[in-house]
Amino acid sequence: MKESDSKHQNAIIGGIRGRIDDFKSRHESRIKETRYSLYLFSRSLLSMVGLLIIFCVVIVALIAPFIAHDHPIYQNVGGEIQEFWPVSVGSQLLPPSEDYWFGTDYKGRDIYSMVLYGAWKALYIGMLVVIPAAFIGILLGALAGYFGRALGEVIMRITDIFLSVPSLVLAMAIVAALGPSITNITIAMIITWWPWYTRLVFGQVLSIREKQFIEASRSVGAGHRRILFKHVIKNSLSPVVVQASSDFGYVILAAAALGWLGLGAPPDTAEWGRMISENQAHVISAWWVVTFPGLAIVITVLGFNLLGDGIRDVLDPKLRR
Amino acid sequence: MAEDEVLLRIEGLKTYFHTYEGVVKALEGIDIVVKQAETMGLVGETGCGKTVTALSVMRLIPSPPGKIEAGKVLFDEPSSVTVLRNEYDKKFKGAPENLKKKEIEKIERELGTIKTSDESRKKELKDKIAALTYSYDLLRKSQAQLNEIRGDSISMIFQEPLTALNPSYTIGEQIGETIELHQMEMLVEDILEQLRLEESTLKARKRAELVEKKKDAQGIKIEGTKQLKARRNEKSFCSLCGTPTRSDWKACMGCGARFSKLLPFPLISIRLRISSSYYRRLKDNPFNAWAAMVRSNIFTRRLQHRLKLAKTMRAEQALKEVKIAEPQLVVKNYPHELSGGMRQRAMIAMMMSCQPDLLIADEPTTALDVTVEAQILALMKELQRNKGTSILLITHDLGIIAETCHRVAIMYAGHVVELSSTESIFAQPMHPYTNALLRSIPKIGAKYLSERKKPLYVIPGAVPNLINPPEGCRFHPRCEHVLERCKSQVPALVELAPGHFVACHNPVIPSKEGGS
Amino acid sequence: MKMWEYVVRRILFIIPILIGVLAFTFVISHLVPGDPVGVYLGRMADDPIMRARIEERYHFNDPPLDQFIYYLVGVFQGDLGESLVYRNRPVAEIIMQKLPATLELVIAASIFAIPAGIYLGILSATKRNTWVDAVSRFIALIGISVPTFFLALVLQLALVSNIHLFPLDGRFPNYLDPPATITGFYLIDSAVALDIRSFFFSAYYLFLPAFALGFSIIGYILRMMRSSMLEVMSSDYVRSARAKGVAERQVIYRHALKNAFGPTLTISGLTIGGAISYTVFVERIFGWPGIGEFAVSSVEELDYAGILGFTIVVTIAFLVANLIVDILYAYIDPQVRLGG
Repeated sequence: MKESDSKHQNAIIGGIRGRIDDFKSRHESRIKETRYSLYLFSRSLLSMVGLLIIFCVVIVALIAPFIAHDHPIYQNVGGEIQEFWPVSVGSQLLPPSEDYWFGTDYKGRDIYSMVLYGAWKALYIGMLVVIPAAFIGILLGALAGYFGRALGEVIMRITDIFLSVPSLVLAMAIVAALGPSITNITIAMIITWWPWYTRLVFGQVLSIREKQFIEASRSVGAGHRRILFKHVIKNSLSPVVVQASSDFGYVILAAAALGWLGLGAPPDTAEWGRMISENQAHVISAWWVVTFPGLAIVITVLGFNLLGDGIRDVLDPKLRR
Repeated sequence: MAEDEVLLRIEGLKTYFHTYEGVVKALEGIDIVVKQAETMGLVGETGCGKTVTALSVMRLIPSPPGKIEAGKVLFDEPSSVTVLRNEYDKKFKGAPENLKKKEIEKIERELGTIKTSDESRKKELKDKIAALTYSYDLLRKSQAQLNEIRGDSISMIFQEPLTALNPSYTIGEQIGETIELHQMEMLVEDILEQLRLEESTLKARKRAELVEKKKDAQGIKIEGTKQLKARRNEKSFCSLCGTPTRSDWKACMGCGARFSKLLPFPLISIRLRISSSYYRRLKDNPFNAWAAMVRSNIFTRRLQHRLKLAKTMRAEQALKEVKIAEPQLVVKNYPHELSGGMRQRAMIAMMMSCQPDLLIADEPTTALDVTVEAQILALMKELQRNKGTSILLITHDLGIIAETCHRVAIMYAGHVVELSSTESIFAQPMHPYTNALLRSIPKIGAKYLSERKKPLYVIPGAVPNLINPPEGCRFHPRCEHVLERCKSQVPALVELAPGHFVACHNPVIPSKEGGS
Repeated sequence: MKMWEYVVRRILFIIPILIGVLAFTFVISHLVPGDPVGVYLGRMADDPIMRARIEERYHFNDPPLDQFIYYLVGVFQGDLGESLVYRNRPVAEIIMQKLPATLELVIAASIFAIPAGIYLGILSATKRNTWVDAVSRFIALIGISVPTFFLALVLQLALVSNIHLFPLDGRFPNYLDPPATITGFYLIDSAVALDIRSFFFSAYYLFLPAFALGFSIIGYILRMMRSSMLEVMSSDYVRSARAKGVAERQVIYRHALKNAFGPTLTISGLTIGGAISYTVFVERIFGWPGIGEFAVSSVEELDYAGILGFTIVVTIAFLVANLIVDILYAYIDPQVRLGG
């Protein structure tokens, strides 16, 4: 029955094509907007540079073990696997050279390799902080804004409390109480960061709530949950996305700062902040021990900031067109 | 200047916007003429270029995307110069630049050698220079010259009064700023007048006291200070505004100034003399560096109080002219505290405060409801009657045009398609677009049932995209009378009836059609 | 009348927020980790004598609510515990002694960074797409992307160790006597005493740390000022002002700036808070004897009393700064004042 088979096939393909066309026409304007957004983004040189930088950093982080000259050993310390860079007495504080591209630190380790391995930690912390913080923040902000009154008041008061301590100091206090570790700085930073999103979303929701299409939805019988998710949150996402893309950079910066204070990774780990604080006493005689990890931080954060700027220029309705 | 003199002459104005999507050809060579004390309406659909025209005249086009590519906007050009200019244009058409320059130099030399008594010859030569250098062309004026003209000779009011007024300043401050910029001499005069009043009050009081003292010397019982003050109860005046007050009051009823302790005469007179000398110096040169220094210096800032008060007084006057109730209270209000109609009146007050020759009104009533709209239009008509201001009224509402305008210009997609008196437009709409517009107005009370049952007329098609406008006449894709020529040749604005200009290759010749 | 109400209301607000912050720190330090006593002991968590002492001192044996009351009362009375780092000196006393140094640093940095940020932000917005704009944006971008401690180290490396343009660390040359303490601010003290040499030295030692701190915060102010100016410059009332014939300079400073200033003002409150927290880095690297340096030492020893004391003081300072900002904001924005 070959004929009916091929007819069947054609029918399926036709059906799929039909569905695709259907999708295209329904979302036509949104597709156009997205394309315009991407176009606008690509026109800005700085944003593309930011994207490029982040791309490179991500690649470096992923292939670090393959392009590094030296590798850490992994030890089992109190039930957890920990990274450890062994001390090498003979090669302390050597300047950058053929063998050691970025020189060595005061314990004789290859800075180049440590910097490469540190990249993944930085990105990892960034993701692990920004996404949960944004999530919590959006949820609380939307609830506070939409339902208002008692719930709103309580949530916003709590938010105010958290916002009245400078983020870094609060994170410091939390990590000090919980004990220094990467997990704990992640937790501390999530706790420090979510209030910003809450406040942002709260403001957005307040103004969206008054808009007439919400009233229209209610009048056709949409329940709170549906309205909340489909309309309110979707429409307040745009400033959150802008903020989050810049926040990646700030989180990495803060994580490096906490690492520098000694609150993050344990000693002898490849974490950029830690590397700087451990070696800074020697900076006067050996400029390279601090410069390369520092530059790594600067370049990564710069990349995220450029990206964030680019996204803001594209999404901000006042700067479009 | 005679009543029929031309106030504003727009010739061949071209404004393009260079955007990401392409070059938007918003205005493609338009010609409009506004005479003295006349209201010219500028009508068209959204996007046809009316606002762009107004902004181009004021040179308020935002410059990164927008640019006035070509054209002339001649303001207040005497007819003698116009005639000369047209002659010269014809004479030097296509000639290189330096020929014109040589001519200018020749005339200037002649001007230098001429006797000072020969006024008419001087005027003739000056007119010639003006004609050659287009000195009345707004598009060629410097930023400083423009700033003098704006607000003073030409004013513009905008569509949405809430956003057009600065939310951080009171109405009085904003109106006062306009007056300060253009009519400083008048303000200073006010202040000097006030100062003279105070000086004479002071002298009167001095004399009164002397009389009292003489009485003492003659042995009459000396009254205690308390009773002396009580005497003064009757005839004290506020030294700032002259309103009579009582001496036990803390502040003045008329101007709200707080009374400080009664100063001994010498101090008051010193104060008065300092103020007088300052304002007399200011009178001659209100904007030089010395004045600026006084203004910003923290010690001498006190002197500005009188200026502020004078500005507020004049602002109140301006508000009174636009018929706002209780102007002395409104003057202290911020824009967000007023209703829409009041805001629009305030904006009119602000822009009319310096008696401009031309008022450009960009859809002034579109954001207001109908009753307020009627009031605002009546107000504008009255202002025109009393002050002889010309108005360029931009709107999309033909009803307003019928009510208020002497002449009308119809715009479509960046071109002026028809220009005539209001009666002419409604009686004989010759351009197919105007004709169609008027036909699409629903009419109540049609005589025959068959007419009532006809479907409402709609112009087929849509307004064209100005990045790639149609070739030739921009209306041709939607036109009922379209010819082959229309698709390639842009029609020029031609006078088909006295005072009635149409830009069409195939206009609708007047018949029994159309009513008003 | 409304202004006073507003101010008083805002001041009263600080108290519940402070209590909230204390509650949170209490929960974190006393309830969350397994060993609250150990938190206070830091590295000496296992010493039984120390443990007993701490338990006694901080009432760890009482029910939680009582503990919290003791805690709150203690803070309000100025009892912030004792510092491990400084051999049991009261934390409150240590902080009070070191506070002026930090304040001097923060104020110096703000005086430099905030007006510069505002000015460059305006310049950048009004001269868009010129080299001025590019340079300003570059400065801002670098300022927010560079970690403060790295910047401090680089400055030290470049200007101190190689060129010896600035002193390495400290607040004052150690072979001289610092000015007599009246306010604790060396600059003010030496000016009041008309001691020119001290004044010069104080400024000389203050310069580099203040610059490092200032450079970290200038970016935020610049960017916010730039973006709100851009927004305002394209608004309708600016167009009206031009239509009135106002000169461009006045349009920028009198019309646009007055309305664009709001968000920048709000953000300056936040950046001052940021500056206070960044002192932690600058002080350690430049050897500046302030509370930031104390905080770092406390963190090294995991001395929770010290860290907590630092947190509380910083919070209060931050709240006060924001209060001032809010009052100024009500002052310039008539809509807030009149409740419009």
